[in-house]
Amino acid sequence: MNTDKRSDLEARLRALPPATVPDGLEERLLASIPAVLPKRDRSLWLRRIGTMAAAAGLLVAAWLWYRAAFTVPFRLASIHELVNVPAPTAPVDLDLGLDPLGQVARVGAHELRHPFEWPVRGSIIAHPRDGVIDALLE
Amino acid sequence: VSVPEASDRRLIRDLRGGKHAACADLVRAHYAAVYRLLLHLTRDVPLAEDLTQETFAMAWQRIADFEGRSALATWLHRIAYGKFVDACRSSRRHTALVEHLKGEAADSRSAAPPEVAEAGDEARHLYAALERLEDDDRAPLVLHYLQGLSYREIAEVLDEPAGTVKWRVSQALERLRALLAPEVKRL
Repeated sequence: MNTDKRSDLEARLRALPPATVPDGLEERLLASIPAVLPKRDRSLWLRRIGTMAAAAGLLVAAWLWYRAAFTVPFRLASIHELVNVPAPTAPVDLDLGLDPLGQVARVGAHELRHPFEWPVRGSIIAHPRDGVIDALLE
Repeated sequence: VSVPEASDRRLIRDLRGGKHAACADLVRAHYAAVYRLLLHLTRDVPLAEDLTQETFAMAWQRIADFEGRSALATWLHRIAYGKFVDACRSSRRHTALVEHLKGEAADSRSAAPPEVAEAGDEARHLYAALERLEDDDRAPLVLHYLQGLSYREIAEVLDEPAGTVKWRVSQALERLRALLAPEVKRL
């Protein structure tokens, strides 16, 4: 019942005759159209893009500084370096600096060393300083 | 009141391109609806005319920033409603409105369109009851039933959730029915 009354009222409202528009209003509105319409303010977007680019640049600079200050220098080996890696059993060039005990052998004009080997005592791999420690203990 | 979307898009493109003919098309397509909305809200013909002109003046200023998220009709209704709210807040016009409303209380038929007289007593009583409603009740009813906006479009105009708008329309309809009830009995 209530719904019917409401629907009836809605229908009556929709059926109301529209108000008359005053004469001359359209002409006045047409006459008031500006000759030049304002354009979209693109400078605002340019400023926004500039600000974002500056912020991104600062972030990149901060990251580079952090990387340079707090990380170990690292670079990828080139193909040439990877191909020319000496075999493990071959004599190693001194420039590599892998001769902690000074076991260097000079062969001809080239400075070469033998591959380092731990001294073996019995079935146990002994440390070179074991003898020193034993002497101290005695 | 709404223009088909394709026409709207074309019109918006032309307006952004600064075409004078597009502005004229916009005026011709929407000025009557904007005026009628303002007339129902203000119940004052000269004030409604002034506010219609102000509405379109603001539309020309803002057209470059209109992003096309809503129909042009909805966008214009929103500007018009904002103009009405501004007019109510303005002390000078508010006083004039109050005086005008007091005058109308004595003769509630004054703002009804001339067609109402021809339409008969029923339409006249309905207009009179609409005018007696508070602004907060009358606005959603006018927007929905007289201007033909959907709840979603009214939500954009009034800047309220669509659910709230639906509830407001329902409440306003009940108040309007209550106002009409004694007149129906008298008839």
